[in-house]
Amino acid sequence: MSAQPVLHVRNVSHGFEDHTGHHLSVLESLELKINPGDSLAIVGPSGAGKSTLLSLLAGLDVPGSGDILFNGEAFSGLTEDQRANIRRGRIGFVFQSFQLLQGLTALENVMLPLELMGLSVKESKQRSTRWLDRVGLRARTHHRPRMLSGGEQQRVAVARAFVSEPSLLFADEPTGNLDRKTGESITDLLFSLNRETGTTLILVTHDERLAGQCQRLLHLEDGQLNEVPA
Amino acid sequence: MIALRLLWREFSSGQLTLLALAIVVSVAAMTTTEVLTDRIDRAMRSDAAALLGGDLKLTGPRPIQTEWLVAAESMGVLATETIEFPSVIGRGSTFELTGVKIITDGYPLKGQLEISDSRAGIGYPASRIPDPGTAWADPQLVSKLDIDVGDQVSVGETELEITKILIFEPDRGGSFVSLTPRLLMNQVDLESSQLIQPGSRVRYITLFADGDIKGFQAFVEPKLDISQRLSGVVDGRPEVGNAVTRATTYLSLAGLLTVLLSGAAIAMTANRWASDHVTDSALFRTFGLSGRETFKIFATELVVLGGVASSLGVIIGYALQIILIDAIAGLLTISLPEPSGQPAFLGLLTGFVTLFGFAAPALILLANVPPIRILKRDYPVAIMGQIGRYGFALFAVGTLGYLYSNDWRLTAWVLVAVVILVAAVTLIGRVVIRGLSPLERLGPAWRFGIQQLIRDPASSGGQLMAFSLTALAVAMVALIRFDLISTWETQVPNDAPNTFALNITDQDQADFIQAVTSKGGDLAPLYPIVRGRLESVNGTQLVEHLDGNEPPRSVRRELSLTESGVLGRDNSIDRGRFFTSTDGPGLVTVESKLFEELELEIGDVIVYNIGPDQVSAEVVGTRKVHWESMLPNFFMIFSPGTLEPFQATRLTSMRLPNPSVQTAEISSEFRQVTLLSVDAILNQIRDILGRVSQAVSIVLYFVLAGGILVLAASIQTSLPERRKEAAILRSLGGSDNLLSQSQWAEFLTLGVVSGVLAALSTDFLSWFLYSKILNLEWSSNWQVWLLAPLITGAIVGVIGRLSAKQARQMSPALLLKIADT
Repeated sequence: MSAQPVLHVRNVSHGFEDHTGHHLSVLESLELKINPGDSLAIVGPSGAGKSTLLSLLAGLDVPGSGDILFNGEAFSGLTEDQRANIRRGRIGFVFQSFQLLQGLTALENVMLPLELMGLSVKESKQRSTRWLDRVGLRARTHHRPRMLSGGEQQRVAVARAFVSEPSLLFADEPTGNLDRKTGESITDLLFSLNRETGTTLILVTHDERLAGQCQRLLHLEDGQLNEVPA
Repeated sequence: MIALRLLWREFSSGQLTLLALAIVVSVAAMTTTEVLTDRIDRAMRSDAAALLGGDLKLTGPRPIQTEWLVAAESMGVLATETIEFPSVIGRGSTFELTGVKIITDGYPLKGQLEISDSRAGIGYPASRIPDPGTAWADPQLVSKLDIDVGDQVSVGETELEITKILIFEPDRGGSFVSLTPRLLMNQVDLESSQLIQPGSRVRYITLFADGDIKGFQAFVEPKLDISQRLSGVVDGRPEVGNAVTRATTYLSLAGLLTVLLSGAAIAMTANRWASDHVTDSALFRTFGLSGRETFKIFATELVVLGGVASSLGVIIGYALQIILIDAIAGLLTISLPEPSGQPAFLGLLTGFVTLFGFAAPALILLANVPPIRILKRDYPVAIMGQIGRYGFALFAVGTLGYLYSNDWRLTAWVLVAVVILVAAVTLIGRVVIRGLSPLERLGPAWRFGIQQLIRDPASSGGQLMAFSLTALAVAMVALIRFDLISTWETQVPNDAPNTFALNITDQDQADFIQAVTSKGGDLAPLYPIVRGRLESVNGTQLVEHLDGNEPPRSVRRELSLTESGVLGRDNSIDRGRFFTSTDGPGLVTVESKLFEELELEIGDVIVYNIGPDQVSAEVVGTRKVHWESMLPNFFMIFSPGTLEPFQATRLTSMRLPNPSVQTAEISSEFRQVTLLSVDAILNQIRDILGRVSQAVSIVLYFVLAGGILVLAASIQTSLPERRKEAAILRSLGGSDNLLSQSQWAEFLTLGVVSGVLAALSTDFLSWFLYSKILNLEWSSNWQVWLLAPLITGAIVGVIGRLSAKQARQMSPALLLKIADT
């Protein structure tokens, strides 16, 4: 008996209206199952709808039709707040432009999701410090984002994504704003943590090397999602 | 609590400095203005109350009800009773009809009696009232009876010794109310004099002051019967009452405009705060927070920040007004009462209401940022509609405006002016900005500057709004200040008449003029006076004409009527016309208010009873009369020749170089002529008006300083965008000079356009205030149209360049890095 998929995409279509009122279809009748512990890359040309698909998978938006089930629970039909509640502590994110709070130090940025989950400051601080240590930024704990390089900022973002020990982690072009060498080190970090924690990792990328490290590769183009054999 | 921790972290990183500063500065500005206007208002009212002898005056034909006195005492209101009636005072074989006034200890409650020790003595303030067995006589009585200090006079059945000459009596009318000579005596002697008999014409006057005077007024007013009259400073003494009312309106307006300015500063910084937090809000949602939880975090941040910053603002505001008053103490002749605690509460409340009124839309926006926004920056956020946003802001300003001014009408009209300004900026402002493109030909700096304005209409529109609002507030306050002061200066010019003369007979006329002129006196025209009572209108008896309604007080008794071919300088025709040289007798002009009360129309024929005879005249016009001018004025002026058949005495006003001595001299020469010196009261009024002028000037400087702060705040909020532009221009090789000049061009243009829009709304608001509230003549003011654009352009230009200097001087690399984050 196969395990319940962590994410199950059932006949999902999605589109939007352009400024002239025409309906543009972005995703058409997608089917996809993602099992716990999978690492999966979504690739495709710019404008193919990769980020749209990612936002639907993470429950940040709901599809025009079809269902997305997270651990067997459908996102469709839930309100924005109910979906948010599902995400809390269970889903982590790494973004292309890091999205760190500028007014907070590296440590405070990592602590944020834990504090929002209601953990005490002391415990949040201990766990966050450990994670900053794991991403190699122990010495930068009290630096604010402006004082960190792009690579360092993304490491903070990675630590922040893992600190709540989510079962599912989404990464949107995590190396998109970094030079090659820094990008590689972030990629290595992401995958080693993924292996250590057993988190399901779903990423959207243009970076072939990054995509190549995933167990599964999906190609999105013209609204169709095709699995590329490894 | 996570919200507080976030607040503290953001605050220590400096991210909240601007918003916190805007709240602190705004609340400090509002508190300072409020504390100051509150103190000035109380000082002014207390000054003016000195002319009434108290804060309130109750007049009636019977003694005041005991329960009213009990109520006054329970409200902490002081009261003192006086009794006035006419009586004949004698010395030997000479008798004179005199206004006797009976007073008790404690009189007057406000102001002071001024007395001298002999007929030609120097006046000084009295510290108590006449002792039993003594009385004080005014110079007129002294002169008529030819007596001096130490002499005895007969008062009813008793004899009293004159111990002082009464120079000034605070609550005595300054015009024609009390023309008879005056004797002041102690109530203890009233019984032995047996002056009051059944049927005597007695006026009982009770003065009230201090305590819960407003509460007491509200208690008494509904209980008054038709014979009783309660007057305050404003209606009791129009010579200064009008000035005080106008000054109070001015202070309210200044407070209201400061609220508006502060609101604008807070709105701008709150909007920047909100736009800085849109991504943060989306991030919180991806972390799993609900909209409500997100709202709670940001709302808590605002409440705590608002509370702390407002408290700090209140403390600074209090300290600031103390420092400022100290600094200008040497220039002030006005003595201010201690600040009260009420403005502190108001300051705190203002901080919160403004913050939430102006930041609520931003807060609601933050709670509604969809999480997908974190991935898609262009994903639309449901921003509250413009009407909603302005609605919130107007509601906040309206509520505060009322709290500050206690005047719904004033608040409503200021809001209307603001709405017009907003509409003008939205509609005209953007069109004007787009129409500025020809200025680009002035050179590359102008091209960059103007393009900057045209490229981002939302941002330049916002700044235009802030600058115009500031300019409107300052222009309004400055304009009214200048007009009020010049009105007050013309009200009692230095050469204003200081003495009235009545009862000049035809045969004495020439000698009298000769006597006054020989003493260096400056004489106004002599008006013939005939006493008459209004009988009918268009052949209908007056009571029937008014449908049985009570006729106005001024026509229930005999009125002084006169005729003249020349319109007095303090009169203006507002309906119909005045007489021309071709007009014959039989025409009349009526004072405007009485015209309305009598329900007259132009062309109506009125009939007056003069003794056994009658005179009829056609109403040809109405006159607006400035009663506070201290010149002789009349309700009815007939065309020359109309009153000729009647026996008349003459009345005039004059300016005597040394009135206290010369009135006595003239009086003894022309015994039947009544002379009334208004010199003391003129000086008093001049003094009060001078203080009020000083007060409104101080407030102007405060509003001006507040305005400059708002300009600086609004420019600060646009700094991040400016840094980015500066970085791009610099990295593309733009010189510092080019950047500097383009910013100069941009701010100068913004300033000038704001000035023009402000002049437009100033015209509207001043028209309303002048014609509807302040009762001043209004005309469009070309100085505002010229100065508002020039001054606003210069100030915005200079502040803008100074503030944007930082953006110019950073290295492009650093700028780009800051701009990217």
